[in-house]
Amino acid sequence: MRPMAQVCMVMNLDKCIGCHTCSVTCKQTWTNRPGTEYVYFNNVETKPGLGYPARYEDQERWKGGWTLDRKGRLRLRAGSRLRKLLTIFYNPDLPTIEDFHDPFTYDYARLITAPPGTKSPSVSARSALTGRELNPRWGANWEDDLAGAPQRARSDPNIATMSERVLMDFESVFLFYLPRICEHCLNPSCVASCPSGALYKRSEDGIVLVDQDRCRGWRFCVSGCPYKKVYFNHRTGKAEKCTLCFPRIEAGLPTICSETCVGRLRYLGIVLYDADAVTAAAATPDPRDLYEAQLSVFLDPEDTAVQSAAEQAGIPHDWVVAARRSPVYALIARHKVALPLHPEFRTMPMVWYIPPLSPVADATAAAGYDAADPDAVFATIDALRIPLQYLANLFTAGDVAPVRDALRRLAVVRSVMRATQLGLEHRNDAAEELQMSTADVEDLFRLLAIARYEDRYVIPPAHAEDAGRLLAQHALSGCTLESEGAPGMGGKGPSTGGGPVSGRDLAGRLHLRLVAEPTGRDQ
Amino acid sequence: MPAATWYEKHDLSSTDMHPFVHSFNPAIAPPWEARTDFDYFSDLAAEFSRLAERHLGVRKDVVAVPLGHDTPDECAQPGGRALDWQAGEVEAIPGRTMPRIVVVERDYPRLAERWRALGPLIDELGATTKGVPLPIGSEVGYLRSHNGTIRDGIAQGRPRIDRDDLFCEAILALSGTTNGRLAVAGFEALERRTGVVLADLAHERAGDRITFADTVTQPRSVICSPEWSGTESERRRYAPFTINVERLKPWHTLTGRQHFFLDHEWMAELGEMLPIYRPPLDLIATFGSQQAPAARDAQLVARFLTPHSKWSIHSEYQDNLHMLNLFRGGPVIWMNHLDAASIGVEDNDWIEAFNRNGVTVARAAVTHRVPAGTVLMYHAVDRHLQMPIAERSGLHGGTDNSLTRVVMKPTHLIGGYAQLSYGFNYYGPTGSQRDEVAVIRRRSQEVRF
Repeated sequence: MRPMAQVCMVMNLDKCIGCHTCSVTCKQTWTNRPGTEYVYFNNVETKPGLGYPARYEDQERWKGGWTLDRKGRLRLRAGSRLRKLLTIFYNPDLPTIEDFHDPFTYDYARLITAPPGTKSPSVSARSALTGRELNPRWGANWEDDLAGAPQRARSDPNIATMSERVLMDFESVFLFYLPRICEHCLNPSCVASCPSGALYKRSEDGIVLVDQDRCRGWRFCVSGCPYKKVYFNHRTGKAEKCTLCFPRIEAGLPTICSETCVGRLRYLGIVLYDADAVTAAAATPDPRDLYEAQLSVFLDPEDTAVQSAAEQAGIPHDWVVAARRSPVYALIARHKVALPLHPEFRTMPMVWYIPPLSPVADATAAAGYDAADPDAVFATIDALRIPLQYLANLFTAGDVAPVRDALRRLAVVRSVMRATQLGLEHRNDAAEELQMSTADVEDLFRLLAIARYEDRYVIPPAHAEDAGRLLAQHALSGCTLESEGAPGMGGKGPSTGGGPVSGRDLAGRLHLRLVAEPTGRDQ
Repeated sequence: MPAATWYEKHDLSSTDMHPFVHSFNPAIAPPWEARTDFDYFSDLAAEFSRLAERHLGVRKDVVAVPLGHDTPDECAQPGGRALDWQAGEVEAIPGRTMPRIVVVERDYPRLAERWRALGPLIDELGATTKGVPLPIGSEVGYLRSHNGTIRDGIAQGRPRIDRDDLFCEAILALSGTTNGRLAVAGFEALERRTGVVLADLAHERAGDRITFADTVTQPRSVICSPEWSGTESERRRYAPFTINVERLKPWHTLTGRQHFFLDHEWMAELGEMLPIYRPPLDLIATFGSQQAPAARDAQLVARFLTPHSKWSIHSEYQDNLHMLNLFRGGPVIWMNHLDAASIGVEDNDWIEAFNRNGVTVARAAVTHRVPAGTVLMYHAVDRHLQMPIAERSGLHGGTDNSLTRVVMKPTHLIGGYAQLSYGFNYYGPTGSQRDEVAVIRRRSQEVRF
């Protein structure tokens, strides 16, 4: 066992109202500058829909993430280092600006300088890249609230693989919002794809970052990331990505997207995991078993053996205490209501989602049943193949069982708490069937419904006394994950001896410069 | 005159949606030439008064004041019979069969002077909300010492309210929701009138006084006050009408109870004495389909709804560069894909919507989220961005409201009858314009701006 700590996020999709506050505050904080106009470290997609960039989930097309070779070993889907070398000046798997969008602005000055007598002057969109007049045809949130869905949403990769025909009509409409940031994966394919060793996963908290000094702009991280959450800054010629707001995380504060979330749907906390088990878990043969495999990598912070192993591995005591209080670990492992996004990409993503019950509850109510009656909701969950299979394609590589159980647990919490509040009789058989104790239901209710700021964000601050050592070590070592046998390399199985017990000694905390100095040609 | 936003000025915010009073505080000074609305009012008042010296002087106006709710006027029409004095059905008596006729003296040259100070009438009349008198007493003295006094002119010696923060201080001092003494006094006045015990609702915070400085530090929980209808305490969050339901304070109605039966004769005439369902007005039957008779293009006649937009207030929060890039960059009309197909429209095509009132140009957002036969254009986006010239009018296209017109309902004109009496911002003639019909057609995809 080689315990490591990771800051991990869970988002409760039932609470997302699609207001895009997270996208806007993230953009204001991190990517509101020339070169990153089209970059959204955080974006919110309406599902069903193609997402951003269009159809990023289709790895047949983009070749992101990992796959297994004939011997069952992990290989980058984009192919070997040799293929990379051959395509280094033309990477066919790279999305273009058309797949993202041509960002636009307006010639606002014309509104003020229009000659007197102009009746209600109006200006059209202009490309923020070329300055030329632009006819917007696609964008970072083009499909808001199912706009254009009848024409386009069947090409959503999560629908395209479904055997059922998804009806695009008013009577069977369902939608939910999917906010996305970088997954800060345990087995990041972006890190493994980088020819320059510029991407690294910080060993102290698992945040995946781009070293702006090392990045040479080859962009294999962009194509290697199956979530398309590494972006290319066309001004600096360097890759950039979600930093999980590490300066805030180091200070014990939530990310900007979490801090400003109107629906309070985000949770941040520590998950302890066994770094030696990651590669084997990511190489689980059946993609449908990857969810369980990833769960098996997580370590139970209540286990005293784990606690002592963690402290021996250099994880500070207060981090272990925080792991025990972690809302994220509770939602993922204790209550099993949160699920990973596309585990079949085999990157072991660390931003998990509570699937939305509302499409089911809406359908239950539309059918004339009480949406708070667990029997009716359970029957609807099973009858509604379409949202269920769709959610399974997003979260469990198509296996509906974990999604169904998560939705049933959410339904049980609603019905039990409703009955309790109203003083009604309720039966416990549904909870018993799901092996939920009364305390489980109450804990889950507190987490989902009334968790306060300090309950949603349990983030131990970085240890200042380690900062100098971490920073000094960084320059020498780069990232542990690219050394032999580390999860970022994959395919070699767990490392055996020789190395340090934990990555902390070799890890670096780098004060990352996101904005490179402008070159003369930009001035 | 560009006005400062709420991050550039001092102001107060409090609604009946939550039990807190917030301050607005300037994070930055108003940029460029912008000034706070308070400053504009102040400057305008000064200039207006200067000009009024020569042009207007002191005048007397005759004002028709509506029969007001929570005043004796609401008993003016016993039995809900609205007799028309103009038709000779009844004698014209101001305040009974017609509005009150009031003579108001307008001292225009002294407007600015008056505007700067808390006037003397509050000393003798107090403040009244919903018929409940709040006896103002020591508050005026408090404001004198806190805000300072006017040194000269007609307002000499009165408390100053000539700066936005001082004005806020006066509001907080004169309301029961932020001044515990007034809350208790107001409830005591209500006790005398209703015979039910109420003042205890405010006793736990009788000594509290929320100042503007308090609200700058953090939003403050308001005090339970007769100005609102809900109880508010450590143990209970505000909910409307709980004082009526739980403490048996009579409702402000004809019977003092909640009642659904309205026996006003106009209600009887329209068949609405009890709540009933009314379908939307059939505007096509009333105004015709409004299609251009010899139209070459396929046209769709649809219900045209203009609801409020998602998570924004009119153009605020949606017509900024971030949010425009996070959707379609300009106005859209949402329509069902079957409707769109029937007139050859695809997603993101330019379309024109028009009716007897006007025309607007927008992109089509084609979706199965909207039922066939209905189109939505959210209210109300910037009309200077991505707004091309309309083919139909040759002018820059209008907005959602170019196609709407107020349709007034006769029963909203009932007055002088208990709860059906005028109350500022509460009850009076209202318009319904959010349910229209419009003709939609695909226009030339060549647009000019």
